[in-house]
Amino acid sequence: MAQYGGFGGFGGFGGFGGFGGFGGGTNFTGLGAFLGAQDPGGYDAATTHGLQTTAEGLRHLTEGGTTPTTKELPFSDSANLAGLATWVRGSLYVSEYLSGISATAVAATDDDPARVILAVDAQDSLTFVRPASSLLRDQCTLVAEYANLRAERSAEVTSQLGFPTPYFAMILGLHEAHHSKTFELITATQVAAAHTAMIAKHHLAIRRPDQLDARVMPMIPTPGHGSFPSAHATEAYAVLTVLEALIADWGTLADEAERIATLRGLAERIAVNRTVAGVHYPVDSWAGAALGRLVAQTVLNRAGKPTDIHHTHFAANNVDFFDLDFRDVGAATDAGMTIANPSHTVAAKPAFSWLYAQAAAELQGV
Amino acid sequence: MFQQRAPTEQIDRYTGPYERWIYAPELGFPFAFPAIKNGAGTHFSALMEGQGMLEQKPGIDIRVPPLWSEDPQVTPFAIHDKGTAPTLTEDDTQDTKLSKILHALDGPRFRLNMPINPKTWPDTYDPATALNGWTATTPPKAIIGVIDDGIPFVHRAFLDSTGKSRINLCWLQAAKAENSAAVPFGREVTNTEIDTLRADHGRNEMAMYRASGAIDRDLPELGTVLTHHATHGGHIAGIAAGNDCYVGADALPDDVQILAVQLPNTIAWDTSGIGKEMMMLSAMEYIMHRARAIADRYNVPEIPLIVNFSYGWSANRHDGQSSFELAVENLVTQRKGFQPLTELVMPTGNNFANDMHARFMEPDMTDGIIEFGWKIMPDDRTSSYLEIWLPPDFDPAGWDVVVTPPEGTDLDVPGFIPVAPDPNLANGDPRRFTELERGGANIGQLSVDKHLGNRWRIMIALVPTVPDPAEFRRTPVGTWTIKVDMSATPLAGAQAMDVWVQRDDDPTQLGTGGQQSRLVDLAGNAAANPLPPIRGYGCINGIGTAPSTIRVAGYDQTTREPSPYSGSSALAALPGGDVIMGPEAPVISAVADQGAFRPGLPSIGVLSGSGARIVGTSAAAAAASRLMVANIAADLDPKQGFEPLPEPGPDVTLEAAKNKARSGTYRAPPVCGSKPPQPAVNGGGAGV
Repeated sequence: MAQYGGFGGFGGFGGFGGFGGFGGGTNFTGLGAFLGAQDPGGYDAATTHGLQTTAEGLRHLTEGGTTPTTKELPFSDSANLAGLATWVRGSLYVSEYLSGISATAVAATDDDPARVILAVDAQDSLTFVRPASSLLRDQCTLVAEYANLRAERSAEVTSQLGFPTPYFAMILGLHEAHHSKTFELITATQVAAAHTAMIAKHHLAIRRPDQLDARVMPMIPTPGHGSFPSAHATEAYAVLTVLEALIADWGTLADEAERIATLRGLAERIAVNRTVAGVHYPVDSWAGAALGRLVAQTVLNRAGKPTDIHHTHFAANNVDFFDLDFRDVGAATDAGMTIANPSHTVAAKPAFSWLYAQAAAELQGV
Repeated sequence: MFQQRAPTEQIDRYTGPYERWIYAPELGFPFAFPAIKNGAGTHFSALMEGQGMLEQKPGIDIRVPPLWSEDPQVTPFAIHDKGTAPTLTEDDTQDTKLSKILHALDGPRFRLNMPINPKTWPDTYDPATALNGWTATTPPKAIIGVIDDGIPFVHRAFLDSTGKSRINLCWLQAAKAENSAAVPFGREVTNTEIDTLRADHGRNEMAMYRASGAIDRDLPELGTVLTHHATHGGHIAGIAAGNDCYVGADALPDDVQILAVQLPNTIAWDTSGIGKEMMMLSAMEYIMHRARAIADRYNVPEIPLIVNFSYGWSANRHDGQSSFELAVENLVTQRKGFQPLTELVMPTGNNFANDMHARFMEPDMTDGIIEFGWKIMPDDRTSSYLEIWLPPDFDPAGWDVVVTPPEGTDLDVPGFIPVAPDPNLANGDPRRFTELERGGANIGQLSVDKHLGNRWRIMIALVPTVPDPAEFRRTPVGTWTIKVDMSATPLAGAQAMDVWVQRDDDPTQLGTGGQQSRLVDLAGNAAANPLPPIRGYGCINGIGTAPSTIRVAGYDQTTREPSPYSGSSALAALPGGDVIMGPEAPVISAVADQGAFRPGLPSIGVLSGSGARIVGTSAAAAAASRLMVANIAADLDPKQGFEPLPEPGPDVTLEAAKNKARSGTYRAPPVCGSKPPQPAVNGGGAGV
């Protein structure tokens, strides 16, 4: 048999493909960039064959051998996490996160509109009132207006179809060689955010602007899930909020204020770009920003950083979305968002705690 | 089918053929730009032609903007029709209603301009409160005025070396009004407000524009233009007056202060020229008025002033005698009497190579007839306009015009019109109209009028080539034939018949859906003619031919040749070899393109730290303006450093005349990218 299997060795690099997909994939997979990351899969047929003929040729050198080791890995220990494939850790983050998330859908009554209450570890944390049809019709006018920006935003819109991690990396100067666990934390947060958004979207069942209004004609495919809340806004604001905490823990950026201001501008821009594209109402961004903040607070708590969670209530009014308004109590109230005073925290979990500690050690000294 | 109006309901009696076309529902009104088509119809801008001031009339509130001139040649004004003007009825259409209002105003002649959104009309207009809220900073040695759309007035490029705004005042003509204002409509932003906005909102410039009402979705004429990456006005203001690394020029000193006017951001929407002159002339008067008010506060005489107005349109008289040109000529020459360092700078335009102009003379006639084509494009969603101008004071006795639609299509009645007054249309300019109709519905207006009583114009207006959902009228696509029979009184010698097509392309951000029409040489011998009738020579900014206006052409920095699109003054070659040059030659050539592979010029985007590159003579004009104001501030001649170009001399050759027509008298040195990036000064100024 000819020995030509060696080139198959390049297949090993395929494992990096998981990170390469940060800006690319358009399909939400449930694991995002974790899908297949560091999963070697199987070899190609020639390599498999070559390995076996080699094994047969070398086995005589191990004749008469035994299994001498007595060492074991520690039981249920975070120390093992570093030795796992990235996608396996991804699974653990997802399960750690989702095990605490629940949603209660409350149907409309004569007195109250339908709503969804999201809870973390059974503590109510975010209530979305289902937007009225009349509000969505009003919002369509804004969506049609934002189409004016399509020509100059098209590169951003199309490169942000998947998780827009390169945009965050640009602002923080992240590189895979230095910040592999920061990237992993970003991905874990994005995946958590996306799952949570889908839960809320499913219950609220809000049709996309182009399904209500012929003027919209989006520049990208109509996504196969509901509009409210925006998953892109959820992911962007979740990543933003986690990075704000991480930057503070790094404590090494001399221009921390500028970086955070820029990150906030980016989160807003990612959210608004979806309205520009024609697939989201501005109120979707409001809802997504609030949900993203909750996701990040949950992630940070799971990571062993106790973070206050205030129950947020959002019954949207017909407003445009701006980051400044989201942060301004008066403007947020006008938009229909109220934040309760009592707060709670939720328990830490081992995988997230390990991940955050690793990322916090990747400080970016400038 | 156009319904004839009673004499006092004929809008053309008080105005001209454009107003008749645009405001009559049976004609072009359904296709007019949105501000007219969708306007509430209660507030309008207008010009009164002929000297004099307007008086208030019952039921009509008249406001005259801040004027520098005490006896203006042309008076811009704004009207609020309170609905109580005498003789108005519910049956009035837009044109008949406006006719009655203009009749009540009792002026000599008007141009009706853009409607004004009622939200931009302050309850109280008090011109005496000018400069309220303005802060004295560095006494200006020179002022640069910028009139444009989308002006990013909080941009870092307009800060002085201490971080304070060099923009003293900026009139946002289409912004929501406050209760009381020193401008008749819109909003005036002071340097104090700009500095306060910057202090209150940190670096979030979008929040500043929202807070100041410069971005407002409720006002279509203002809208969200400033949310774009770049605007025409930002680009131009950056080059003319900005200190920023994206411009890359020597910084202007702190004592070059800025006055700005942001025109309605949809100003480029309509392609006919109607709708704009009042806003433009008001802007010019305002800048001169406020420059004098600032001088008074510093107790100094009139301050040197360069006004950059990078705007224009294609058709018009091109003899310096249009209303806007007469008015600005009067303003500039009068001010030069007080302060010689007073200039209005405008671009030559970008249509040299677009077949939008033709000049016909005696040798072009066959049996006393001149015939040419006008190609109307498919998918054109705006009206198309063509103007034919006869020589000034020429009597076209016995002339007539026949307009024929493209082969295979017909008009109900041939498009025929004598070039002579209609005796049934008394008062107003001598004029006559022929409706162009298909299937009983109007698709066009063929008119002749003796413009301002001194020059005959033949004009054609056509509806779009795609039907509006509510209007199934549409213009047949293809080459229309225009036949002018002048055999009774033929052109002779140096007399010329000039044709211009109005610009009809689709400016970015506005979505007009226009498609540019062009002229077609039906004789088919253009290639052998060194100066064929359809020519770029004479295709120059239709509002930039006033004698005192500094016209700026564009050249390529790498080749030093004229930019291929750069507008040119008129030329004619007589059979004996004599060359006649138009008086409206460019004064200055400035860089418009950095090279074939670097077209256009770099400048600022809307937000600090962003850049943009835009192609056209607008940017060349802005560069020339900057150089002149910088020279004045340095106590130099305004054209210091400009290279004199060769004059054609007495025995002018066609080639020498062509060079002069395209490049003018001086070549300005490069501005953009002429200096390496400078470090930031005190957080503002030059930027990094």
